[in-house]
Amino acid sequence: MRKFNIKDLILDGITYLFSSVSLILLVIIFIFIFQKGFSSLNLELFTSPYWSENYYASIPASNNTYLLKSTLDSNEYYSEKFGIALKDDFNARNEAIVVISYVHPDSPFNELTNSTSGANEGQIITAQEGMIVNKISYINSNGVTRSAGPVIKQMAEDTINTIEKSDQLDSVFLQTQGGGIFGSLIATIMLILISLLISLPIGIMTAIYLNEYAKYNRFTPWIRSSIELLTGVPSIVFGLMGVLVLFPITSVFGASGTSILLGGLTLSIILLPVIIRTTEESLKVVPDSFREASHSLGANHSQTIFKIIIPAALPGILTATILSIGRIIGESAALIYTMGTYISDKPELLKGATSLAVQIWSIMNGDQPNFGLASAISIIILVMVLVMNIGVKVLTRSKVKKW
Amino acid sequence: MENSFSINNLNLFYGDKQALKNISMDISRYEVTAFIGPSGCGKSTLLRCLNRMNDLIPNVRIEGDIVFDQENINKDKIDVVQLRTRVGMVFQKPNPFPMSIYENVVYGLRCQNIKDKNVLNKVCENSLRKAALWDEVKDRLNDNAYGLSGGQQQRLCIARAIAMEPEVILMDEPTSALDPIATAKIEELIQELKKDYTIIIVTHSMHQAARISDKTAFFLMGEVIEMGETRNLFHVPKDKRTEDYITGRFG
Amino acid sequence: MVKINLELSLFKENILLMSSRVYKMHEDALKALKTSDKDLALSIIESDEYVNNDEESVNRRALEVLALLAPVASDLRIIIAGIKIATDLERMGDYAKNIARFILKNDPVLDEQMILIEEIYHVYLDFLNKVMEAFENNDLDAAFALPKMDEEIDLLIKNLFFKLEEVELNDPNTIRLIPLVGMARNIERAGDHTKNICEQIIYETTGQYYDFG
Repeated sequence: MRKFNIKDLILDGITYLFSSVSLILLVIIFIFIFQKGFSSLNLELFTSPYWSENYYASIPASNNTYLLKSTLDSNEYYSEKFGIALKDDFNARNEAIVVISYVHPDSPFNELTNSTSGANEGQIITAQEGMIVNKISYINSNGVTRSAGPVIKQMAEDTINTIEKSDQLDSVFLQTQGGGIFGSLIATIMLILISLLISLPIGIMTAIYLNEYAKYNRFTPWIRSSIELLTGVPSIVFGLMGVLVLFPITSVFGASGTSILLGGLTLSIILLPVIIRTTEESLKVVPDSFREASHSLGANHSQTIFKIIIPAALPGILTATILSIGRIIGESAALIYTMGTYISDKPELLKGATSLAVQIWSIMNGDQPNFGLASAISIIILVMVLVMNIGVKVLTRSKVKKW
Repeated sequence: MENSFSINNLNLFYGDKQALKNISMDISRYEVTAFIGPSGCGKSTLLRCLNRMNDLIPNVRIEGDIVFDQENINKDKIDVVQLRTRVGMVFQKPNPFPMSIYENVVYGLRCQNIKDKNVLNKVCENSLRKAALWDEVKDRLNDNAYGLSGGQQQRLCIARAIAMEPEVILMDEPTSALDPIATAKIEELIQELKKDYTIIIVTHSMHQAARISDKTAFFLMGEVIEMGETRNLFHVPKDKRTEDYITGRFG
Repeated sequence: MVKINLELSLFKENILLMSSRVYKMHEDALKALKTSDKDLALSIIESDEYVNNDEESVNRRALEVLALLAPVASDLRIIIAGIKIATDLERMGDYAKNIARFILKNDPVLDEQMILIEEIYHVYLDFLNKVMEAFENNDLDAAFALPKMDEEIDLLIKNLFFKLEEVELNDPNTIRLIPLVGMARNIERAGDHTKNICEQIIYETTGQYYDFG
């Protein structure tokens, strides 16, 4: 006979209700991001730069026919005279564009000469798949230079038909699509390297000092408490501190303003408490019997630490590293102040750049917020963090103490 | 036969608490000396004094002399690390390092900067033979030490200590974590080892002390109540407290 | 360690029971001698069976305690001493049996000789009684003092033999005196074994082996 206790039922009901609310909220967030960003996800995202580049180039003369070697899709339009295929597409803002879909290996489009004034004038450019065609200038039968392409509201088919009628092309106005994360990816990797290079050795050595050398010191508990305190400080405070305190250091190296170096230095300070704490935990778990055995065999203190304890604590140190990388990828506030918000396609150590997270901020902060791209980057970040967390779990489980 | 250790008026304090009271004893070479007594009576503490392992514990104060090879090892200018290569130790719970069997045995040698492969190999084989473990592991020296059984691990720890070619081996309840067969193997091993090493063993089992030791010292509350030839102590003990302990009237 | 206390006291009790049986055997032997009671003599011989069983059970119990409880020091000495005492008691029982056999096979002893034997036997019975008391009470002083009584017994027996020497060999009564020699020997040996018990008591208490000669 089941007793129906009203109070228990109500409590159970509330628990289920609230848990479902959290679950539903999480699911909604994920669905939202995926929906917005999934379509923008493609491999080119990883390799193309963010800013689109404009090229105004002259096309060399040619007199051959360029026969197709492979088959094209029905939406691609090919010019045998000039060896180039165009198709219709949409850009990130859903505007209609015309892109190059194929370039014949012998086509003159492989040897365009850059006519934009500036540093790159005179350089040879190769037209590539994916580049946006804004305008192709051709010389018509009367010797007049006319334009074809989206500039006169022609789409791919019409453009190809128009230039096929002409004998000679003059110039082409190309644009790279941009909207990629290549620059930020490189910047993030540089950031990871710098921060880890600084914080890992310092953090690990500090943890070793606290746990192995100064274990019974009166001051050690105080030091530990201070480190614990640091983990609670909001990262924007670190950002401000970085700008004020660490900036002079980077200017010694030649940086003027925000830089990856400054971001890395600031981040390494943010990471220090995490690394120290995690490393200390893994050092504590190493059984004292190892230390005793090592000492009883005539090893001195440092031999015990470096030959026995650190190798035994390695899984924990690895965990600390992976957690740090996750933190770096997710950090935004501190980096906005120290690394800047200008998306750089060629990140340099002493110049500002954006990490992936900050790029999202930049994209959304401009006058044309690009939800699709931002969501795509969010998905990438989420996946990376997920992989890191799974990695941590797998590591801690497989290395579950054999001793 | 000369003495391995001569202990004179040794006192040890953990903070304010006195753990060893006025200990004086001589330990003979190439013999097995057993320390027996109820829990917490100081036998392990005294054992650890003999290789200065109590240095690793904070708040320990030691007074008195321990003479080893004509030197007082309680004086600060003693090279403690060097002492420990001459006085080895085996612990209650087998504690091999998380490395291969080979690396475990040669660990101490590596710490002494001995790198010659030939030397290391030879010492490894000799030590494992002396510890009666060679035949069981000679084909898997590179396997992880944790693949061995408890008794084998303890013999590995003994081999590891022997590899340093000590003069004395200290054993702190070496068989209390092992099953009877492994215990018997190690007791047999100790009888062999005493031909080449001085052995001092702390044991909770008086019967073990009776089986394997030549001399026995009975500890109670930080003092040595009685010490003498084992066969006499277990036949006609001189002190009533010894008698009460070994007959199990209190434990 | 209650178990070993219990076992050891049961062990000693067994020995004391065995010793009282042996004592009774000798007491009865003296009575049977005086009255030439052949039935009593038979019962003495029967008792010897029981005494032999007693020794077996003492040995068995000793083995059990040794194997299971691994006694050391004084506990061990109780067992060792006990086994030996049981052996001595068993021999003593045999001597009583011998005397009983004699009573069965022969005519009663003459009064004058009886007096001599009776005196010796009384001393012996007293000796045995006191020794077993000393065993029960772990009385070390008594264990050292009592062997004197065995000397006394030996002396009395020597006197008896002197007296026997004075007797004429041609007297037909002489023949009846010969068994006296045998009996006296039995009592003498029983006394020696009783003296051994003293040695065991000393060993049990001090761990020293003493030989009273």
